[in-house]
This record gives sequence, structure tokens and C-alpha cells, in this order.
Amino acid sequence: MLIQNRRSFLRIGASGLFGAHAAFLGLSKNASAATFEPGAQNVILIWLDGAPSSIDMWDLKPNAPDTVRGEFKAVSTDVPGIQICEHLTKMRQLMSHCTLIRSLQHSIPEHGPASQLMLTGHLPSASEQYPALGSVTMKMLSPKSPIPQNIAFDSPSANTSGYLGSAYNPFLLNNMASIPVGLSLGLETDRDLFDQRIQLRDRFEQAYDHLGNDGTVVSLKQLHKEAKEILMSDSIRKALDISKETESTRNRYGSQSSFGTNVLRARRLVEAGTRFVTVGLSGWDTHTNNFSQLKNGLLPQLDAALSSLLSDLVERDMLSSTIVCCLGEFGRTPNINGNVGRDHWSRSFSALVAGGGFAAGAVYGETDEFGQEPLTNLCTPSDLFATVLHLVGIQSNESIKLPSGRLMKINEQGNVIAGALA
Amino acid sequence: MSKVIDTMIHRLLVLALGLTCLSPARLFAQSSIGSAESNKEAVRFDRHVQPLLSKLGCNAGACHGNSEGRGGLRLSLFGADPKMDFLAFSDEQSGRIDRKSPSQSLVLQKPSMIVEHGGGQRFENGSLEYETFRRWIELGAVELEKPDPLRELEVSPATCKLNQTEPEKSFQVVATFQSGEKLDVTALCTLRIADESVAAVQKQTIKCLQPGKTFLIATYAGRSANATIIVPREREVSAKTSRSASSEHGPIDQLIDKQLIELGIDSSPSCDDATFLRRLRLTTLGSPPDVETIKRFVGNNDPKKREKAIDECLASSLHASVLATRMCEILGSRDTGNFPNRLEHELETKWHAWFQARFDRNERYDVLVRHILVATSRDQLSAMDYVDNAIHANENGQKSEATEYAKKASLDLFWQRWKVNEEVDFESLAERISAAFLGVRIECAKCHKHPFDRWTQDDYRAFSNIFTQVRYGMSGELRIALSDKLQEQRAATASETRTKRIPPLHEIYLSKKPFDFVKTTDNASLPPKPLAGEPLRSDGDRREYFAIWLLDQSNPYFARNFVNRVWDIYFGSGLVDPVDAFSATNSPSNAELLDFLANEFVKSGFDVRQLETAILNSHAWQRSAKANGEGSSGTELYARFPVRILPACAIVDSLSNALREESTPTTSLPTFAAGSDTQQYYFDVFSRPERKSRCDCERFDHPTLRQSMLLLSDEGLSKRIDVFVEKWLGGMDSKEDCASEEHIAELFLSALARWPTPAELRVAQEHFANKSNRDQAAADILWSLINTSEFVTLH
Repeated sequence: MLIQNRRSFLRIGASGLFGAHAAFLGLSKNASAATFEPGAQNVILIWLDGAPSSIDMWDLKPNAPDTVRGEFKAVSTDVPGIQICEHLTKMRQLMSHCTLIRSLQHSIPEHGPASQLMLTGHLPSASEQYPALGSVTMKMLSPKSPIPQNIAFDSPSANTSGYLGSAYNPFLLNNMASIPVGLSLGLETDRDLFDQRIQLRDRFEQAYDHLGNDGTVVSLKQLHKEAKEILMSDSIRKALDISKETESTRNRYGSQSSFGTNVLRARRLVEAGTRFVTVGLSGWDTHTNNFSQLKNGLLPQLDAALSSLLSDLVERDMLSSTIVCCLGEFGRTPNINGNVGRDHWSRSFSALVAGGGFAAGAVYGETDEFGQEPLTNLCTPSDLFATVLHLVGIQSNESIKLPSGRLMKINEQGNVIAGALA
Repeated sequence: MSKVIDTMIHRLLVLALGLTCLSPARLFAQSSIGSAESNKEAVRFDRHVQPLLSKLGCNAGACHGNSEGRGGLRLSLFGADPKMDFLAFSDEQSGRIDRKSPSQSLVLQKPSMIVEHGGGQRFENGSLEYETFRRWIELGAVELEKPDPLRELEVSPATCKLNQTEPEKSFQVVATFQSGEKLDVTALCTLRIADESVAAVQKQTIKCLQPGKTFLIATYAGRSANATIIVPREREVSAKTSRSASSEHGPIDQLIDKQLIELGIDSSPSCDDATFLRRLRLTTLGSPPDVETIKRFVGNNDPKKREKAIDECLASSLHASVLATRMCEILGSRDTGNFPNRLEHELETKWHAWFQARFDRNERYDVLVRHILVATSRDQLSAMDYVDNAIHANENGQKSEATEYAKKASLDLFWQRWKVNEEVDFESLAERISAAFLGVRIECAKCHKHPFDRWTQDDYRAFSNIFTQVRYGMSGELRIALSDKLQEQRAATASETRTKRIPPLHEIYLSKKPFDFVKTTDNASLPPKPLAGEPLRSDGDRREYFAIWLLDQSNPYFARNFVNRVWDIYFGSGLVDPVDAFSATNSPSNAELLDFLANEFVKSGFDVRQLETAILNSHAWQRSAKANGEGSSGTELYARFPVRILPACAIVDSLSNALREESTPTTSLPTFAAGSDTQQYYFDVFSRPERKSRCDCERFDHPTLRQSMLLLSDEGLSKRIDVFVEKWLGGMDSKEDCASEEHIAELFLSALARWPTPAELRVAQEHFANKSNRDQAAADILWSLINTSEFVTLH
């Protein structure tokens, strides 16, 4: 399936435009910029909604006073020198596949706008609705197989396609108890009959063909084709159906919580050809009882699902082509408050990234002894945004042509975090 | 020596400009030609250096405009504070400039990468930028002289027509300052072409690429100006198009056709009656016509039948409901701040009813807006009457509340967006009012100078100060009335009379103590001031003064904004698009037409229905969606009707119309929420606007994968089709009967509001012939029609 406006189109468009007018526009220098061969094909974003206390997870301060150190011990991992939280027991064995970025920083300690910033790599602006990472990826890369390319479970509301238009919005599957209407032909539908009906439809569609050069008509035609292929292959329903997995696998991911199930579904979707999957887990806004909430609920869930995902990807030899990214809006205050909680803190926080060209068994950046500020290698949400795009083969200073004819630069502010790459 | 350098600079500049006819002096003050002495005044920080810092992106948020600065140098964001920028940039101690040997200055060495620069290379050694900076330093890097702010920016020629014989043209951007001094700033501007597929710009030249119309946008020192670029097709338009421009057509068509002829684009012919009727119904009433209505309309021989149908639709209360819903979207009826959620449904219904009543009686639009802007909860009621009314309403149940509310003079709900204590969210209200009634988005100016528009943070705050008297809570008067009432009740209780419960009471009222925002730089007070207007009086009702300013017939924003929004309702995009982004950087696709519509609207006494009537009766609106002739893709120039996805409501109603289900049209729903789960699911998938956003960004009329998949795979829909088919075929005897031309036509009319073409009729009849089961055959056909692009679009 070749989707116009997506990557293939853009490449042709770019060489056409730049090639023909390069001399005139004086752009010849940029035209040959991207010859990088991307290793990453897919992205799984684990979104910890509410802002995780990364100081208790990935960047502990064992030598700081009680009021900062907190209740958890830092323990060694399979990578000498890297320590993480004692309650991430399974992840301890997998740090050799991951990079911890410990020097993220931004300036908005508020959930709504900060999730926009983290997901879009742009400060929120009312005049421009910036697209989230998943929508950009979907827009720029051609689909690998007939299945929705950008899918989100329990996703934050900032995960939208912005100026790219609704066609690039994530396929939202929130509070998914069962498979909703419209994803599958269902048991009662006869496949042959469906195919016949589609053929009949296509004949009635011919009257509309003479409107061919209208943008809406062109995209409808493509969507019709995609929709048919997805439904005929029943790809999304099959991928979402976890009864095909063994019980032990389901338990390993954590069958008690929908989060574990969704992470397992994410793996299955990526295997089936989805480019970008977001899985949200809420409850991280731990202003009170930070430690008991983490220890008893959040960390075990995350540990089970994330470790299972990583080891499955390794086992299937998919980690080199799949980026796993685990983060939230920001971090939490180094100082513990009166309710044994931690409040909002965006001046320093960590993210875990793995696969797709990120370094393995590495730490990037460090914070001061109290975890207040990054000391080295400060990086911004835009930088991380640019880095993920870079790994999937998209240059973030590339322009996207909107249906209105306007050219939008994806992101001019971020720099690829070269030090975090393999 | 200095002469030699001057000659060198001259050469370099000439090279950099790429045009030998230009003197470098053009770049500097016009008096400065020639002598080195007068050149001392030539390169000015405010006129040359700072605009270049903007052009080069140095003062952007990601670079030195960051609140922390970058690499030790901090500039004001987008050049909002020239004084601060001068001090930072001319800091000799840190080596940024070196007056003795200018070329050693870091401001030259870093951007040209002679010394490592975090922001990369911004210009080359010897470039125009380099030379301007160097010259400024060489001339002493002097402090600003007395401020002489920019008054006007102009691009000439204002219209630039290019073609194969003349593929390139040069242009000039001229700044005029308060003192009257003029300066050619072409080389100091950021230059951009709105549609880069039509033309390209380099230095002082525009070059055409392909036929079309676009704009050159020049930004200098935070101000923008533009010029129109026209690249006509090299062909004659057909006689028909050119004839139509001259005579029989109304002024709307004349203005559109004039542009089409200029560009060499043929317009499409008028659409047929059935297409017209479907289009009219769906846009004005929200749902398609039923079979009988189509037959009657098409069969009618009255030459004035289209006009009459338009009048009939516009007068319908369903149409008033469609407009009311649109107003609720524009004004964000569901964005209620910290208001309790459970009341949402009730509040929405009231909002909608208030607007519907007004559109029903075609109230003057300026009067309608006035009653939003100066709204209070009590209108003219005394506080005691207000309390009594509330008690009375509370006793008599809530049923008629929306109808009652529609009778209320002013829309106080608009202001009920609770923040904390008695405060409403002034800034969000200011942003909303600006976007809704001026068509200007000012959000960016909340935190910093608007990056591409003229608005500063102080403009934003002064505008917000118009609304800082508004409170939501209990005014002194209401408190007194309540305590009187309570006393009265206590006395009554003492005498054992039954008392009526007093419900919780709040009101929108004006406080004598406005919570004014102050100036960003020195905390000085900022008098309330409309964008681009004169300051208003601070005492008395500021909203009243604002309304007078806004609704004045000469206000350049108000009427233009509304006619543009109405145009957008009918054509799917505004003459200025997005509709709330009026700005020098976003020119109207047909400026003359926009002006004409606005003037007519004002002259008519802000008559909404008259405006709609004029638009709907135009040939442009009634054109076919088919392209006429080669490559006339320009839907934005209205050579043909632009295709778009129907709104969620219209999809739901089209389905029940096609299946002849008895149901209230969802267009008449006052609320965002639907009546059933299935409808709600369709609303979600087909993106019904949420009525929350402050900008016009909730409407998506682009198709999505989810939509196509839903219509294809919804088993519930298949069953509804089966139910319809069974009933429909019940009265027919044989399969041949079902496959008759008349019956197949009925299926097409239900689903697509048109008759089948002979080819389609043949396909349908063949299908009946091939299928043993006639119910199945009919269901297949209807299902297929529902799944066509035609069904889900307006065309």
C-alpha cells in the first residue's frame, strides 16, 4: 500500500522540489543530508500518566539525607555500575538492553501542558496544534502491512495528530474491555458476501471518480482500500486477541491489570505491522504515600509488563527494530513532602529507552547529589523527540506538506542525543 | 583607507544582494549615500541589527530567546525588549563585540563558525548579515538613539503577476517610521511564500513555479506585510466563464469570476437539482431530503424554485438549531472551568436555546453579540426579584428552564467559567472573545511577544483588562437581598407559615475593583484597550465601552470575521482560513470579496439571513463539484464546489433517512451528547466538535480510517438495513417488480438523494438477476450505496 503524503511521497516530493529548484532556492546543501539507514521500524511508548517518581525508580540518591533518599534501596543490575530501585526486580536483569536518560529537563510542572510538551516535542501553543510523536511517525513512514499504524491504549488526551489532520490521530482504544464495533467484520459476516458487496460498492463508486483531483476524494479512496484490507485480513482483531498467547505469558505480563494485557497487545500489534503503539498506565501522581503506592501497585505492574515486553522482543530478535520508551510528563520533587509524597518536578527527571538503535546497558547524563538538576548532558523533550524520529529515519527538521499547501517543519528545536545511541 | 573598506563593503553587499543595480546604501538610511561620515548614523541597532537577529532566529525560544539564554547570551524572546537586547549584544567585556578590531567580535565569529557555536553556522564570513554586524561595531556599536518606532510596512508592488514571458520580478519592502523616514528593509526581512508550490523567493526576486495564486509575506521587526502573487495559466478561459463575470451575475460571482479569469481557470457548471437540494438541506438543516421532497423539487418547473427552497430552509427552526450549535462550538459552551460536571447538560441546553431563539427570529447579529458581551445574570432585575425568581423556579421544577432562559435578555452563561473564589478566567475569556468576534488568536502573546503577529504581552494584558471587572458569585446587592429574604423567612417561620427553600445563588456581576493586569516591564497600570484600538475608559462598565468599539460600523474586524465564518459554514473553509487567524501573515484568498460581503452585511443592518441568502444563491455555491477542464484544482478560488466529509450529526441523520427510521434528527440536539449509545459511538468516530476549545480547531472534515472501517463492519447497521429491506419489499410481488427502474431509483434516492445513472441502474438490475434472494440483493445494494464516498461527503 502506497500512501500519498507519507514517507515515500515526501521523499519523491522532496527530491522533486529541491532537485528542480535547489539552485534557485539555494538549498542544494540540505538536499543530500539524509542518507542514514534507520534501524528502528516501530515504537512502543509506555506512558506513565501522572508523572512517575523517577528518583525512586531510575535515579536513586542513596547518599542523600532521608528527606530526599526515600524508602527504597538502590540495587545493582546486570550492568556493573548501574543501580536502580529494589522493587524493579525483573528489570534489574535487563538493564543491559536499556539506556537510562537521567538528565531530562523542561519548564512546565503541570500535567496537561507537560504531556503536550513530552508527546509533541513543542511547547503548547493555541495557534498551532502540534502532532504527537505517533502521528508524525504514521505520517512519515509507509505502512508495513494492512493494520492501523498508530494505536493507543488509555492514551493521554494530548496524543493527537494536531495539524496533520484527524487521519493521523491514534486509533484510540481506551478502557478496552472487549473489542469495539468497527474493528472487525464479526462472526456473523460472511467474508465472500462482504467481498461481493465491496465489489458492488466499487462499481457505484465510479460515478464519483470524476471528482478525482479533490483532496477529500483522493484520501477517501485510499482509506476505503486500507479499511477493506484491514477488515479482510482481520489483522487488528487478531492482534488484539490475547487468547492466542499461553496463560503463562499472559500472567508474566500481568493479567490482573489491563495495563499488562495492553502491553502484551502492543507487542502483538507491532509483530502484526503497527508502527506506533502507546500504552498508558495512570496513577503516578503520588502526592501522598508515594512509596507504598509505588511498592504495592505501580512498580510491580510496570516491572512485570515492561520486563516481559523487553525479553520477548529480545527473544524474537525484534528489539533492534523496536524502540521502547518509558516515561511520563515530568519527575517528582527530590524532597519528600509532609504526606510522604513527592510533588511535581520538571527540572530533572529520567526516562528509560531501549532498542532501535539506542545504546544498550548505558546511562546518559547525571543529576546532582540531591537529584535537583542535571549536571551533565542536559536534554529536553524536543531532543528526545528528535532522537526517536532520527532512529526511525525521520529528520525532525524535515518539512511536512499539509493539504492546505503549507509546509510545516516537524521540529526545529530538538537535537539528536547522539550520546545515547549505540 | 576607509574609502577602500567602503568599496569592499559595497562589493560584498552587491554580491550578497545578487543584484548589481542596487547600491548598498539602499540598505541603510536613505540620507547616508556616499560619505563615510554620515554612515556613522547608518547602521542602527533597532533598524538593522535587531531585525537581523529575528531573521536569523537568534532570539527564538530554542536559542538565545530562551528565558535562560543560551551559551551565556540572553536576548528577549522575538525581540520584545530592544534595550535589553542592546545591552546583551554590545557587551564588550565578554568579547561579544570588539570595537577596536571588529572582526574579532564573538557576535561575528560564532555565527560564522570561526569560533565554535552551539547554534551552528548562521551566516558566512562576508555575508550581508556579517557585514551589517561588523559595520555596526566598526561604527562604534552605539546605543539606541531616540526611539522612532515602525509605523508601516509595505511590499511593492502590492500585486505581482508572473508568467512565462516574465517569470521573475523584483520587489521591495519599505518600512516607514513614526518620524516619516523611510527605509528599504528588503534584505533585513524574513521572506516567505504562503504556497511554495506556486512561487519561490530569493533575495529581492520572486520567481514563478506553477500557475496559481499565493502571497509573499515579509516580516520585519515583528511586523508583517504581504503582496499578492498571481501566476495565470497560459490559456484563454471559455467564453462562458468570461461572460458570466460581466453581466447577469450578482456581485459575489463577479468578484469570484474576475479572479478565475485572471488566473485562467474555467469554472464548473451549475450542479443539477437533486445535488443542489441535498447540498442545501445538509448545510442548512443538517440532514438530507427524503425521497418525496426530492421528487417534488426536481419535478417542479418553477424557475425560481431554488431561491424559494433556500428561503424555506433558512426560515426553518432546524436551521436556527444548526447555527445555534455552531455558536456553542465557537464560544465553547462546554468549557465551564471549575463548574460541577453534573450541570453540564442543563447548561448546554440553555446555551443552545438562547441562540436558537435568536436565529429563529433573525435577530441582528450586532444586537445578539452585544447581549453576550455585556451580559449579567440579573439583566435589569433587582436583586430581590432575582432571589424571588430563583425561589419560584426552584419550586416549579426545572422543566421549562431552557425555554425560560431563551427569553433572558443576555447570555450570562458565556461568562460563567469559574476559576477560584469569585474570579472567572479573564485571560481565557479574552482569548475567546478575540478569536470569536475579531478572528484574531492572541494566545501566543500571553507569555511573550507574538512571534509572527504584531501583538505584545502588554496588548494581551490591556485587552484582558476590559473584562477584569467581571465576577461570578454574590454581589453586595445580592447578599443584602438574600439576608433580607432570610429574615423575612425567619419571621414567617415564627408565625408558622410554610417557607420556600432558597436555592444556592450566584450571579455574573461587575465589581468596582477590577483585578487588573499590569505592564510586563515596570508593573505600571494598563488601561483596558481593544486590540488595535484606543484605550477605553477604566471607570464604569468597560465591557459596554468595548461593545461600542466592537460593534461600530467602521470596526474593521467584526463584520469581516462573521461573514468569513458564514462563508466557511457553506464552503467548508473561510476566505481567511483558519477562520480565527486574521493576520497580515494570513491573507484572504479573495480580499475584494471579503470586503464586499462585510460592507453589505453592515449595510443590511447585520442581517444574518440576508447574508446567507446571498451566498446560497450565488453561482459559486451552486457549482458542481466536478472539475471543469484541465487542472482546475483551485477549490479555494471556488471554480468548483469543494468536497468534504459530513459532520457527525449529518452522518447519523443520513443513515436514519436512508433507512426511513422514525427518529428525531440529531441536528436538533442542543447537547454534545447523543440520545443513544450507537449515535454517541458514531459521534465519537466522526468527531463531533466538543465545544471546549478556544480556537476553531475541533472541526475535522477530513476522512479517517476508523470511519471507513466502522461503516463497513458495523453489524448493527447491516441489521438495520435488513429490517428496512424487509419492510420495503413487503408490498412487492416479484423479484422483477423489485428490480424495476422505479424501485432501484428509490434506493438511490434514499441513500444518495439522486437517481441512478443508466450504468448504475444496469449494475443494480444485474445484481437482482444474479441473486436468488431478493431481500439479500436489495440489502447488498443499499449497503453498497451507504459505503460509497458519495454518501459520507458533501459534494
